[in-house]
Amino acid sequence: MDDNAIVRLFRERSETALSELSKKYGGYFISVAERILYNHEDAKECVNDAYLKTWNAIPPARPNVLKAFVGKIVKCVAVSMLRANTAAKRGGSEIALIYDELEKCISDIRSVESEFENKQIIEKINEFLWRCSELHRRAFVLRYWHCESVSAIAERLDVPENKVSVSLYRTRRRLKEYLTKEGFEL
Amino acid sequence: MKAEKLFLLINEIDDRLIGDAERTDYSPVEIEYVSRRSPIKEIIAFAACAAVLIIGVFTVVKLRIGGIDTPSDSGSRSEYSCSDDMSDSSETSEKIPVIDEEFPDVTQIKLPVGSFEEKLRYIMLRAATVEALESGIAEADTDGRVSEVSVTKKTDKTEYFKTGEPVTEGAIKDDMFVTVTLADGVWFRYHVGYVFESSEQSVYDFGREFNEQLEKLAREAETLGGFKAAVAEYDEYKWTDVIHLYRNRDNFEKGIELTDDNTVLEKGMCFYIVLQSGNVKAVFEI
Repeated sequence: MDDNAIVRLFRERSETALSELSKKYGGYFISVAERILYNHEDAKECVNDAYLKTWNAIPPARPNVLKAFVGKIVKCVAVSMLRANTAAKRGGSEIALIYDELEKCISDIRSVESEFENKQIIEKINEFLWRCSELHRRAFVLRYWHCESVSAIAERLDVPENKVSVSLYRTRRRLKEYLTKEGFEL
Repeated sequence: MKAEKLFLLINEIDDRLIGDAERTDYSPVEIEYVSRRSPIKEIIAFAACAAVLIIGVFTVVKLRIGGIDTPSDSGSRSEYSCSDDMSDSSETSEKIPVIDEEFPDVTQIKLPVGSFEEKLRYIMLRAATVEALESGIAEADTDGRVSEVSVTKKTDKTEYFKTGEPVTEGAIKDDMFVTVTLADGVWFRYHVGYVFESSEQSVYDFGREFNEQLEKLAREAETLGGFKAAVAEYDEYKWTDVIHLYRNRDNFEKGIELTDDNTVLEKGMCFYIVLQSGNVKAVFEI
């Protein structure tokens, strides 16, 4: 079933929407959640919570890209669960590595609290990424949005792991510089 | 925790970036082009460049590239007297950066006369077909600096040049995107008929100028409708997509928008302006 049809089911409040969503993207959502939570059962619970939030969000929301829309919810739920999940924090999970990398990336960026500033930063990140070369952009999004491992990204993009690591390092550094230039700094 | 905060901010990036990353049509071959070159090729290239320099002292070299005349033989501007200008960056870098005056309607970044980048622009602006573009760049790229050449067109579902539908042959038409990426990741993009820019120049400069002008218009306008009219007059390339106005930041965050064109603009009001590309280009208070 295509995404528009699934969204239509949500808007019609048909519970088939959830089963169709799960059938189409359930595996992907669980794998993303698992990369964050480092536990399959927790990941399944997370995705179920995300489905409920999606059910409550559509309508009124009208997602343009259903997979990304629900994926964002899944990750938000997963991060919330992660705060109470010491196993994943101890290390070994992909998210522990990702946090470590991002921590270095933003060491000079001041904490932003308002929704207004958050939106500005998100748009700046969008601008920045669209201006990156294809390799840098895709590697960054695969790593920090899809939470894929460096080896998985290398395989997907058919480049050496070292190239991905260097690409991520440079992109993080440039992002930091870009955000600093745009005024998001201490 | 800052890392978590940034992780959650990245979580909200443009949906199209998310889909773009998962595409399966990525070919890394061109990215690795430079590192895959054998030393013998570099030696040959060096020898060829030296020969061209020597010959160039005595003669004007004319390059004809896939039906596109390079700047050196266009004869349209006095700076382009011979192809030596292209190979002697130390001399040409001191010349005043210029735009391509034959395309006054295209918003362009300024590039140094005689630079490789200017040569790329020259070819990109004039290529009438994908074939001419590719052969022209292949001919001009004697140092193997180009890693990727692409032509794409917008579709109903994709607004961005990189996720547009690839055009692999035939005519290059208005509103398509011609993109040339160098091995170091810098890219040059020509939105056919509108804008020529690069990843390192002009986008920010032009964006800043654009933002500043929008803010200036907002300060001068009396009503929302008046501001929209002023923007429409200024925004000749139709970059602006939607103009949102809010009473203040608090309302902006809550999404309570002012939509009546007769709304009188007051200090503290907040604009949130979205461009056609989907990128927010201006968020500011009056």
